[in-house]
Amino acid sequence: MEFEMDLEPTGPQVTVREAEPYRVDFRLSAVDLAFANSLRRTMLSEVPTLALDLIEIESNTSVLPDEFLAHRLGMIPLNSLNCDHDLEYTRDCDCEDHCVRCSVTLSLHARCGQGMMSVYARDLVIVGERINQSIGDPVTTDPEGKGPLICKLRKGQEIKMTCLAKKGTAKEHAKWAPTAAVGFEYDPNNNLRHVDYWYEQDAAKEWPVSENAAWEPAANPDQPFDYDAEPTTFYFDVESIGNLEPDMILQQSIVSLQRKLATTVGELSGEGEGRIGEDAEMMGANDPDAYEPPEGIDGNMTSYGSGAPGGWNSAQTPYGATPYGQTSYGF
Amino acid sequence: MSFDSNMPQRPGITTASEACAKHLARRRGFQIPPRVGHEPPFIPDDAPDVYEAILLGPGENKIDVEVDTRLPSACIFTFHKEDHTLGNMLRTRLLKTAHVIFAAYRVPHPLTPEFQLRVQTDGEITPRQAVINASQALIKDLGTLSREFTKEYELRKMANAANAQHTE
Repeated sequence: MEFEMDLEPTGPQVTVREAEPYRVDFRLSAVDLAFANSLRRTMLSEVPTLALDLIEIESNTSVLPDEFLAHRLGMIPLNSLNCDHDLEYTRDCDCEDHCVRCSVTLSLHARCGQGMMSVYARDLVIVGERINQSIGDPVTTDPEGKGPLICKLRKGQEIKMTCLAKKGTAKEHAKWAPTAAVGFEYDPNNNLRHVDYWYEQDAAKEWPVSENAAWEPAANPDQPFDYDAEPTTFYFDVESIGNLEPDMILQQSIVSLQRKLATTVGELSGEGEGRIGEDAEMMGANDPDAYEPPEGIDGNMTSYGSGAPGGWNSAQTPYGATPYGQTSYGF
Repeated sequence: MSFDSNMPQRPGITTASEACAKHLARRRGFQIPPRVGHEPPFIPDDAPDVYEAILLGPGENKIDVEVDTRLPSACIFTFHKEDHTLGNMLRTRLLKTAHVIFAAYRVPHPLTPEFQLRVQTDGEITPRQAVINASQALIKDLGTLSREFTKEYELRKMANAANAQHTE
């Protein structure tokens, strides 16, 4: 079994190539395709964010029907700072209907006095309390700070509504997606021949290689093809919508994956009585697959570790602390 | 009136304003003419609730374990409300886990939010323990990834800031 463990002696490696306010481009290596793909999938669909979910319309004399407006409002990105940690799902919350711990209330009131009026996302106003200082703020990325256009009003027209923002994931509805897109590439030189290019004369001339090709060597054509080779390096380009910081999207997706796995461990070790002790014995220290507490807890850490309180490396996994962790973001 | 913004309006339900108008009219003794013509057709809503694909139903287990009696040390784990995200990741890691001689997963039907994971071991450990080991190894790897990323991200941001200063 030693040879199997030698494949990943140090675990996943990361090189951040670009870090911008709404984008992070990184190279992930020493992982397998399934791992990288699961990470991509969770970033796309299982990172909790905040979005408007229930709209109470008091008055709407605009040309758009109520449903239309409600749908448009749902799509508006809202700041989701620490959404996973601070906010409950409304369905899991103890409250009667909704409360400050599971929702943010915004109100929108606009009346056109003269000419034509455009109503923008910035016109949404937070009502009452909220769980932290910026959750629920409409995301504005344009230079004027207006945000997306909700509707236009003519003279005398009015819209007045109360909107309830709730926590959710893109698995339920795409409006909760934190990412605009996740770029994902591996093997840019097609060394593994996972891609079979269509071509007229010469595939190499007709298909330009991507920029990522500069990050790894092309296979030597004189060498025989390695049938056992597997992809280990992946190029990610995570584009945030603005509701979560791009690094937070990744951290959150890691947490949600860890939570899934921790649930699996909990479910499977909870059921079989008598089996656990037997296995624990078998799983002794000599077994490389045995679960070891994450570094930082057992002290086996680099200079970044040893769980400085509030530092950016406390290295708690949801499993390491409590299985269904009210823990940190895993970093 | 309120709308669940991602839910279509259910047909056959009178709107609040319509109901109020009818109520007022009755009180004032007006005859309400029956609706003629454009009675919306009743369309039963067959679409399953979105939650059904995410949340466990009442009494549903997250994982059902079935022992595969055809072979020794083999189990079929049915994960409910999970998909390729967990299935493929677990399967791949199981293949690299000690004592596992077979691991595969399938999603029986794309419309049912579940997958089956079949694991066979060499008898040294139970398939259940193999899945636990694989999950724990993955949790650990994800922890490493999280730390590595944070470290690299902070370094990149520092480098960016230094570059910006330099160009000024």
